Amino acid sequence: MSELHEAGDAVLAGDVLTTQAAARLLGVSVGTVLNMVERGELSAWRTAGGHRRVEREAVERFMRRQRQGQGAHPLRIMVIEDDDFLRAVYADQFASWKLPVDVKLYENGIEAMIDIGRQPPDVLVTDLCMPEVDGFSVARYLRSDERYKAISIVVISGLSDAEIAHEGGLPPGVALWHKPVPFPQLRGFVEALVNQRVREAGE
Amino acid sequence: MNRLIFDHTAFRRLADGDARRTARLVDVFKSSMRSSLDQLAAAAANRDLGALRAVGHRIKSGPAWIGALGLCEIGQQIEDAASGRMSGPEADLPALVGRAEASFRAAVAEMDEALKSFEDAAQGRNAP
Repeated sequence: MSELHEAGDAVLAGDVLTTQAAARLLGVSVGTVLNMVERGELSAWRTAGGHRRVEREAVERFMRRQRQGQGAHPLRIMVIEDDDFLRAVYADQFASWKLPVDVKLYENGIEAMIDIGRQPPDVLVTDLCMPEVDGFSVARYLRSDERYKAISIVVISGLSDAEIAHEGGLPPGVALWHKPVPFPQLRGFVEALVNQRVREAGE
Repeated sequence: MNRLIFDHTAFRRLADGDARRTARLVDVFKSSMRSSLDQLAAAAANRDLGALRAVGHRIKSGPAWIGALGLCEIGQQIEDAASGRMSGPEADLPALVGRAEASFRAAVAEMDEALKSFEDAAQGRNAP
């Protein structure tokens, strides 16, 4: 059910709202709604009797934009790599790209999993062969849990396809790239996600 | 025996030719690889094939980014030898660990020289 239907008696039939209904849904006063209409932030028109009517879709679109704006954050990227030098190269490369990303680097899967539980990243880049919790375990766990379905997972490994298959393979929905780390490809991937986020925020 | 020890093109590309960033990464590389080579030596002394395989795997790809291709090749050989995928005289793990040490020293000498030329070039650009 649409969240707008919860407005109850003030909601008119179909896709049309009174200014009172729009105000209640937006959590603002009727005056604010009228100002928003004047500024062109909400599509509205007048009835023959002079009453304002607001498009339900316009209100929903405004609320979506508000939520995205409030929740806007740089693309969160986690990198799990046990090689100190490669972690330094990751940090250097990401910094040089000057993209709106928040990158956190982890030496092993344990530390990363703890942080993923606290705040899931948008993108996880992981090696496979690592001490303690390896990349196989991390990818399988995340892909088996609905809460982490939205995370884009990229595995970057020095293992061959045959070696990965021998270890039981990777779950569906995981990108596999081979080392040496293809940084130009990674940059393109991250840029595409950043651009997608910008587009979605503008809709 | 690995013929190509150091790839200068990869080294120049490492940090887009930025001398300061490159120097910082060289420092991390030296310290990280020193630690890996010490782990290899200990694993070889203890005949710890699991550790040799793991460290060999780790050093077979990272050094490529800084141009130390010889180390990558030896890392692969150590991983293969410790996994039983390579046999015969070439699979002599203590010898391979010794070669890794020598290849590291050679790569460090190359990158120190390359870094110096970076810095000289940067100073030349900044000279009045």
